[in-house]
Amino acid sequence: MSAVKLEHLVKTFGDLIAVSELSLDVREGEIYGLLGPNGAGKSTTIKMIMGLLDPDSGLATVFGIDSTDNPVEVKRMVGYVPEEQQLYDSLTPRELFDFVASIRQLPSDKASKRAKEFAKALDFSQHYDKMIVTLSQGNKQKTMLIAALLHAPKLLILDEPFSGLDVRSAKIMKDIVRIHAENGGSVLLSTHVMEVAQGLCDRVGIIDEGLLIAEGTLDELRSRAHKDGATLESLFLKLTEQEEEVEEGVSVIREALAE
Amino acid sequence: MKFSECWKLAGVVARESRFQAFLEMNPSNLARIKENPEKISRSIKSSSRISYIMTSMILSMIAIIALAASAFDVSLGNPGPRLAVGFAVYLALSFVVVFFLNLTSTTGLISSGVMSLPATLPLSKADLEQLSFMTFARVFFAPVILSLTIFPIGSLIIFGPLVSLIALVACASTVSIAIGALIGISKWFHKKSHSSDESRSSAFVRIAASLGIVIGMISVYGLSSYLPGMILFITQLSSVWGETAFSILSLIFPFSYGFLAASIAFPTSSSVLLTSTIGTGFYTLIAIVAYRRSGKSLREVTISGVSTSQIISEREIAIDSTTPLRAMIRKDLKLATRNIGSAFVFAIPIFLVIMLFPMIQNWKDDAGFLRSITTLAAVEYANLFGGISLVSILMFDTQGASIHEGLPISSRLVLQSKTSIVLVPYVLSMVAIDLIVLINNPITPLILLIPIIQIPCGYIVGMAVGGTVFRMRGGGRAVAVNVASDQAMGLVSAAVGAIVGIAPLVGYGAVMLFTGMQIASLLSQAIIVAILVAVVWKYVPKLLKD
Repeated sequence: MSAVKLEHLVKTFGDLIAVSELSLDVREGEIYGLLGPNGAGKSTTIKMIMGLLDPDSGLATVFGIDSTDNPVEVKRMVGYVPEEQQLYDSLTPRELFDFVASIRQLPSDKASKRAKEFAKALDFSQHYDKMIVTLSQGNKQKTMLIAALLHAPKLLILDEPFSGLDVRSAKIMKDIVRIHAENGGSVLLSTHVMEVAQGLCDRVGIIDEGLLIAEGTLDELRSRAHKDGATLESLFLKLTEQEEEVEEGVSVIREALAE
Repeated sequence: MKFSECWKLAGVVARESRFQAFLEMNPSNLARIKENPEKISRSIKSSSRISYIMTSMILSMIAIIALAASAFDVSLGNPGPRLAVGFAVYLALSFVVVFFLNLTSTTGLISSGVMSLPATLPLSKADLEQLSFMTFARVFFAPVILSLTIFPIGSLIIFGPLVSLIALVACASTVSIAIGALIGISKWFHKKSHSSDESRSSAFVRIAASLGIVIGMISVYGLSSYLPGMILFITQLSSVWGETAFSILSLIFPFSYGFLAASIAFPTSSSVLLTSTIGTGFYTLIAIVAYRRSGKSLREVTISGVSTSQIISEREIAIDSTTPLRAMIRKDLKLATRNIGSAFVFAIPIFLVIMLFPMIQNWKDDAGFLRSITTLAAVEYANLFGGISLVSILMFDTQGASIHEGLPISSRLVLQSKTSIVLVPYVLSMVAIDLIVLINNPITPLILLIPIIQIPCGYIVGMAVGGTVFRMRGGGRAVAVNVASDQAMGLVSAAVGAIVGIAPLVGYGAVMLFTGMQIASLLSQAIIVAILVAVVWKYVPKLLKD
């Protein structure tokens, strides 16, 4: 069974087609990277998978459960880190994790053990009783990650999970993602950092203007773009037809900075 | 930096400060600001304008009533003590008005870090200090100018230039002391409300401070109606104690100014003149010191901020898991006690008492008995406030969107948790109504059972209002609503609360009309409450969607 299955998913906002006939699979035990330029429809897709947005047509399922019909059940199985961090600023991480564990009905001892391990791994223990509003961006991101991992989810959906993390924490986070997949868990990862996607993902899907324009392993994408040995970044720019735009932008900036 | 340039820049910083204070009071705007920034911007402007108008009206009203009572109300005693006490009462009330109505603005000024950006620009320390002081001056411009003009001008017209001069010094001193207290309390509250100290005493202080502030803010709107009563009470007290009472009072702020003014306007004993002169000199000196310290304190907090850091001894990492419903309630209560705006919900029973008390006293029958119709009307007011309470609690959910989006929280669970919270102010409101009825000579003790039987209606009101709001604004999904920017939902909530809550009261009234029997009427009220609980329990969840 697929961890995530999208079939002909469509979502429009007025005249804007945010997601168009999108179909893809995230297999069990796989790390799948969802790539695309700003406004490509990545976050809209993820929100439909989480049942936070209703698709105009098409189907999104998580382990066979329809995200539109049963979003609560989907959320029970998923650990989700959204791109925007709107936390409860006036709570402490301790209070927040108590809340998350209670909503997920986790036994105190199990949840405590996991919280302790993650706090130690991410060097977070000293921030555990500080008010969230006082935490740095990186520590807020760690708070979100721990909250998402607390229930040992079968599927992790991470929307730009590495932004704001220091080198140590980013490395540990990548390892957490890998270990999660090695243990049979699945990961759907949306990122702008091509090096992360190249180093971490088993397969990637590139979407642009709501359409899936390419999907596969790095080698499959290279052969499709006829670029042997190319990095994911250059493949991404070629497949999304942004190579010329980038060159043009750089030359404009060079001129501006030279003045 | 030139004065005019600094004044202009301070306007920009003051606008940002007002913006931050508005967000602090209406947390849901944090989420909504991206959706419709123009609407929020308009809302902030109109809110500031309303705040200015309200402050002006309240200060003008208090000044006029105090001066009129001092000069013309012979029923309040001799002209000398009348002027002294009227003067003092005005000063005390203007202190309260300046203090409470500007507390959130000042907290916003401190917590917003509005001076952080100017601090990164090439401005000298002196320029920065000038800018922070002018920002503060712009926030307080209207109440300060009003306070310094209305009462002295009125005194000039009625009592002459010398009394007017004393009034000016007295008003300036009062404003200075009020602003000093305001800065001190704002710093303290900001520190307390942003402290993660989990001790019970700290939580108690936070709740008490929030409630005290909210009640203070609500109470100032009713101050003017109590003013003549306060003058009468103090003059009567003084006349019981004689000349000594005046001498002692004239040493106490703000009576010193009043007795000095009275000594100049009317013949008074030399001892009162002496003590009031000493008192006036002393408090004016304190006001000058407060002014200087406030300036320094203000410059420090706006540029450096208030340190909310504390030495935290690392405690063991452990999760305290509970049921989802309790977790939702626990989270909401924690959020409520750390935000002045949110604490409003729990002040509703007190607000209800302040509003209902004079009304109930006027509703007694000719024989001086309080009848059941009065209790029914009071309970209906509580139903209306119950509806507003629920929609106010929905404001809490505008925070923590990232957490909510990933958690398996059903709309039903959200509604149940909000309804459970609404039961607290609802039950307290019913108890408060019973207390008011009890001290106002009810025609039969059975009337006291009306609010008690109505208590389960808190659940009915909460579920019905929540279900309606979720249906109208979220298509059945749990949504956050901000009453400040979505006043239509505030009205709908009040109306739904009033409509569903009135059914048992109508039942009581109808049976009373037909039978004239209290027991039968109460029984019919109880039966309707029970039926409504069952209906709401069964049908409201059907309106919801996940």
